[in-house]
Amino acid sequence: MLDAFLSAGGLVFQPAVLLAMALALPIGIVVGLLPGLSGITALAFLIPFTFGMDPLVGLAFLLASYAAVSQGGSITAIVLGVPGEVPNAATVIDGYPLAKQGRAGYAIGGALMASALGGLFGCVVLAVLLPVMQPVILSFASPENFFLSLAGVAFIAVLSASAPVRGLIAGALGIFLSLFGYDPVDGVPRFWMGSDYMLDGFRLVPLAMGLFAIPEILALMSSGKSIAQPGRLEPISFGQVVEGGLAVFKHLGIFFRSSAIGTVIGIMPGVGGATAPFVAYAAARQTAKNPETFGQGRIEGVIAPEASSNAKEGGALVPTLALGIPGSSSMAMLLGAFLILGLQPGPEFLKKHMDIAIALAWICALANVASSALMFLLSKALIYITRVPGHVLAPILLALVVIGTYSADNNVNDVWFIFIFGALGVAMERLNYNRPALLLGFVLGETIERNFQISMKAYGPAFVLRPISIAIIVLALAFLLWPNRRRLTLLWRRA
Amino acid sequence: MSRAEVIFPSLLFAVVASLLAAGFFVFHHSWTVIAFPFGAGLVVCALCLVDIAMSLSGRRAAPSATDMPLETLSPSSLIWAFALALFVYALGFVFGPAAYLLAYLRATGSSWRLSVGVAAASLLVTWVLFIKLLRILLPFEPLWWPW
Repeated sequence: MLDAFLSAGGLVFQPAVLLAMALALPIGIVVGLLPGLSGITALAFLIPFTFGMDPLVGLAFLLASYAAVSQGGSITAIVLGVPGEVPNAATVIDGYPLAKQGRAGYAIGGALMASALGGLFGCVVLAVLLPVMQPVILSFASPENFFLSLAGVAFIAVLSASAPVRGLIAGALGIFLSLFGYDPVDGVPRFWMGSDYMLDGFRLVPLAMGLFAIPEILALMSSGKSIAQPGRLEPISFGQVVEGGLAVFKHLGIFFRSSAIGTVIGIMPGVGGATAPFVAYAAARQTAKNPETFGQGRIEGVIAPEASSNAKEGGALVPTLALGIPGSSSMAMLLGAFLILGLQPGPEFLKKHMDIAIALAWICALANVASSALMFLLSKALIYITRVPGHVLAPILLALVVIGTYSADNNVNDVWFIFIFGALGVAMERLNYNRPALLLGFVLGETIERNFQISMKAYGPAFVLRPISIAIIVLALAFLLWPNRRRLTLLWRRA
Repeated sequence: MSRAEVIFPSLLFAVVASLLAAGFFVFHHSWTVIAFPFGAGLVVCALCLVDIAMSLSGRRAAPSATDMPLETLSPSSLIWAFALALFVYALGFVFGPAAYLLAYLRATGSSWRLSVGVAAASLLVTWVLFIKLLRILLPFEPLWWPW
């Protein structure tokens, strides 16, 4: 094992690998900063450039850009209130209020440090677990994935403690909207209204952009003022960013818990990495002293989702490499790149190429740190965006959102749906309905249904009695009931 | 309680219930196909009823004093936002956004220098970044163009 670790280190620090990473990082950051474009876009764009490359150099090229995309997405979530990718939506909840208070630098610093260290955490776990994880991953089947996804949505109630019913409405509506189009098991189209576009159901990017970007853009257009509220502005300096970075060390408990949550969820193939930041955010809120102040600009609300979001990438690589089962859609794309480069991930891959597998963990860790450092250098310029007058920033942002959304799927109907979901987003924002909850429900809805249908067909209703399923249900219930433990104890004693 | 607090969940209820009814009676989906959406839709409808009842009975927590007030949306901002869709429809994805930015910035009192600069930057971003570098096929031609 130690031999593989050292030989992997030697592979990573070759000039060609480092050069490939240096070239890919800026591309990833640019893609991450463009609303609507995701890590898959970066991978799809870069894969053709890897033809003929040495496998490790090619994979370093792809992984570095992928790591940088996530960093870019968290910056737009904080500075503009527009999540670059679905997992970044959890960062909007506290990051954007901090930007409005003129403390964007503080939030960015916290996000960058949490991302870098979270990524490192995930990669260390990846390197340690690779040789032993196979039986654990295989013990998770569709019933366990069903309960994990359902628990993810149930945590929505925790996310919106001030209006739990509205949080649940948003989550359930998200699940309902995700069920349009082809049924994942039988392949029969549902609610498609005779429109070819609706055969594949609603799309994620217009939904995310409509829910999050349109309300902020309309507010900027209406007020004409900058995002950062006048009168609350702190001078823009690296000091602000450094202070935010140091905040991670003041909240080490939240950091380690969130990173562990991210890694574990990332390891589960089929659950989808989007859940991790939301669960980590809910856990941070659950255990905080003043949970009601979450959502108004708490740095812990930025650290938790960012740490888990990057830690999950290391976790998602575990099933991809160890079993050849991608843990997320981006990992599916990466799996394709492995095949193009002549490598076949799976148990045999680990036997033959353990050094390459650990080298990939090294690359992931390095890419996370390097992209955070690059973002740190750019952060001062990015904070200025929060001071640009609204009547200048809003139309630019709207144009970018429209072009970015079209680019995600090359479909004009997506553009019209930005405005439709935008109207929904405005209503939800004004009436205190939880928008991230709707997004999470939408992302997990199809997974929940597919795993439910498969579980019913494979095990019948008894699937709920599988030991790991019972453990997940008990843990989720304990987590959800924890804030009301005193009231429950009182009721128990009275009874 | 504002009227919107009752109207919005009522609208959600109506839309979801209509879709479920359409699934059964118009699209004639079989039970195996519609069972899961039916369950999810039923949950949405039930929760909407609970929400409406809570709003009508006044059993809702008041917003926290530290909550930031939301900006009132002006009708002109709504019109301008939707105008981008029209510009894109009329002029395509490359020239439409540039023309929109020029028109919007001039209309809101920005200088010619800034307005033209931003419009030119938009052309550069769509052409160089999206079309040339990212190889995304943004349509040049207007969307109404039949050929």
